[in-house]
Amino acid sequence: MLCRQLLTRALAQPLFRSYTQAHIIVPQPQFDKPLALPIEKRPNVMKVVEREAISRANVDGRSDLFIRRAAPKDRLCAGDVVTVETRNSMAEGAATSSFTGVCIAIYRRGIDTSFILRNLVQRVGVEIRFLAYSPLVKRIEIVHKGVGYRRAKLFYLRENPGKAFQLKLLKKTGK
Amino acid sequence: MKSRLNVIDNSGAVVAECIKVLKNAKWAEVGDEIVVAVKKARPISEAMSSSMSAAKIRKGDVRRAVIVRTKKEIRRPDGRYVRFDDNACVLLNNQQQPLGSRILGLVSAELRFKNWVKVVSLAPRVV
Repeated sequence: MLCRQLLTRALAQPLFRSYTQAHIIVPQPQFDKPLALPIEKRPNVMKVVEREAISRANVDGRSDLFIRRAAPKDRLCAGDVVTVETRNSMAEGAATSSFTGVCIAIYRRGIDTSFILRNLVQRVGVEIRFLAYSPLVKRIEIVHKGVGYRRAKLFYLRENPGKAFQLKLLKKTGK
Repeated sequence: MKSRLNVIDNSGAVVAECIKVLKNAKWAEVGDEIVVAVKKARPISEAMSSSMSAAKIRKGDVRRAVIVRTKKEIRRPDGRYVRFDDNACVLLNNQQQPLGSRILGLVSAELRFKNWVKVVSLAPRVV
């Protein structure tokens, strides 16, 4: 039935007419050319898609914190004290909540990049794993650079915290 | 099942062992109700027993409880994971209200989504 309708409609219209249908929306390209590195002759499609996703999510230059080869003072390192402010909902002007903790691990996975913050709240250890490019994460701020940490993953702080969580900055949120 | 949990209210119990998960699942998570056997309790002094005649928790008591913290990480709807350093519960009475009058540690925000309003309001901090 539908097919027949379409056929009659097509025959009713003059031949050799350009078919630009108004209900088909052609998206405007967001990027002038694919985000390929100059060295890539034939860019990998998935990598280009991932770079586009990151550049869309990178609203406040947070991707600079996760560059592996940057100088330690510019990027997020394991052992740093970090404050993350998160929106409670996607509604405009929604309330935010923040969590401060020692970064004990970073997982660099492109758009899925995440990191774990650990702190003692009321003498109970709490770990939260945040997604770095989540639109709900409003702000990632390095409060204090860690000193004397020689490992990429600091899971040993669970068993041997030492003085890692004795900083005043951390105790403020720990109360 | 059979896991030991810290009891973080002032009911008198200190450590409890999970002996039944009250849903058709092998394990319980934050906000689920379980049956616990009290394994360690604070000694009941004379003064306390006269003032709190209603709730006397002894070693060996079987009670219901709600889990408030887990060591296993919990996924939130926004993709983040929250993990605590211990497993903890709060004892409940028959009306599914907390047995103690106070909660002495932080609880997970999952309780709010699962409608444990009384537990959330008693807790000093919700993460």
